[in-house]
Amino acid sequence: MARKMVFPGEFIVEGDLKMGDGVFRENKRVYSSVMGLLDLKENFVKVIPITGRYFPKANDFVVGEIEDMDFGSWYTNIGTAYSATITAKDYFSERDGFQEDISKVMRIGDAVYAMIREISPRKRVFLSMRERGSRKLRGGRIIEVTPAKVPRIIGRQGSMISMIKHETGCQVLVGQNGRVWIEGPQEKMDLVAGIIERIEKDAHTQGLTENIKNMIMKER
Amino acid sequence: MKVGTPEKFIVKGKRLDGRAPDEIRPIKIEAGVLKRADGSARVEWGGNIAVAACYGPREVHPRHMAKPDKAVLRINYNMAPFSVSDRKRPGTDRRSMEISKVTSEALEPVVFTHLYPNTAIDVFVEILNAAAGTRCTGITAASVAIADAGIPMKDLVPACAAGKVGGEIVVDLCDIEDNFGEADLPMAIIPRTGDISLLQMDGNFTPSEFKKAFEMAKTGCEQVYKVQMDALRNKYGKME
Repeated sequence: MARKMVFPGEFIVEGDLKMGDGVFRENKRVYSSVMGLLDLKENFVKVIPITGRYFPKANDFVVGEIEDMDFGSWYTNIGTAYSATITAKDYFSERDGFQEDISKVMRIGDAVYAMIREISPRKRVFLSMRERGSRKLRGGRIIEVTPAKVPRIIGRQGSMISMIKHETGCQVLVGQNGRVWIEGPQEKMDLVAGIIERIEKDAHTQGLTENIKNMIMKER
Repeated sequence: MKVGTPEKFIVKGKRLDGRAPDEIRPIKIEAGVLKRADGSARVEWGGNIAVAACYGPREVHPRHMAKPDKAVLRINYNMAPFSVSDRKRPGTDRRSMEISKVTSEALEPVVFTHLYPNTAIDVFVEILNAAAGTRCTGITAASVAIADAGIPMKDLVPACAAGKVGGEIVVDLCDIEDNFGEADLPMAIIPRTGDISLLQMDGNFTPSEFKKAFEMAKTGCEQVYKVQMDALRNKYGKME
């Protein structure tokens, strides 16, 4: 379904609707605050932005790089204005036990795939490494895409990403912050990087998964 | 009278560059011109060329500038040395500091800064060519760049000046009118609400002249606003 494109300050609807992101209300009139695609339901309105930096949201999985650490926590760059903290408590499980010296586990420069556990009201971001799927990333490479295009890389119910993984044999992890980690043989990694670049460019086209599949077939 | 002042500013209802008193110079805006910036815009307005680049929200450096309840909107207005006929001494001066400040204050009411506490939104406005009205060109460019960066805002902010030359009120002064005219009234508005977010005055108006200039500048702003919106539509409208 084609959604309507709206721009900052554009009037959307009048009334007491519930509001999601990307909108604001003035005198009962709801306006868009960003450029994006309008999602207007009977009792709910939001705008899905098509541009802009990633803004951390709880329960999102992100790819981050450890840039600092102290006795009990790591501080991770997740590509936002706020650096994210991983406390030792959010890394070690009681079953596996704690490690006295946390630098033996992860060091500055290491990459992680972790979930945003909490964002404090003062916008401190805490990551958790105890969620299923989160891990330290060994080897491979990280590429960056526009965060707004991440849903297209994942595809409907993960169709796109699982197809890419299946067809290329690479491991791919997509962070909601627009960072994608790829691991596999060199030429396969190049292929995946090319595919993702292509998805980013053609994100607005129809039948993208099919086109990408054909592209992979041709490369073989 | 200053040396070089034209004898007449308006001949047979036409200004020195052939415009009518209520006509703004041709304006062209393009959004998203810089790949490495989060958002950008290029504005060509008469002889003015401004490029604005927006980065952020990002970490504030130096740290002490951070505000715990909102983002700081930092504008850096800079004129290229080659932007004027006499070479401009490069770097920050009193004039560019003032313009950076008033631009930031003109744009802050529309940007949702409280969504991003402890961060900075940086906008760099480079004037590549100057021909009167660069602060208006700069504000116009900066506001499109911020929108292009996907930062939530209440509206775009267009800017336009009006002034008095040879006793007549005209809109959007050109080079000679600006240098030798009697008064200048740059203005930025928030079109949706009709609020004024920048109003400066250089020279003297009578109250009735001021009213006329004010209305003319406002109409000019509204014309600029349409071009700003078209710039965003041209870049993003195809994605529906």
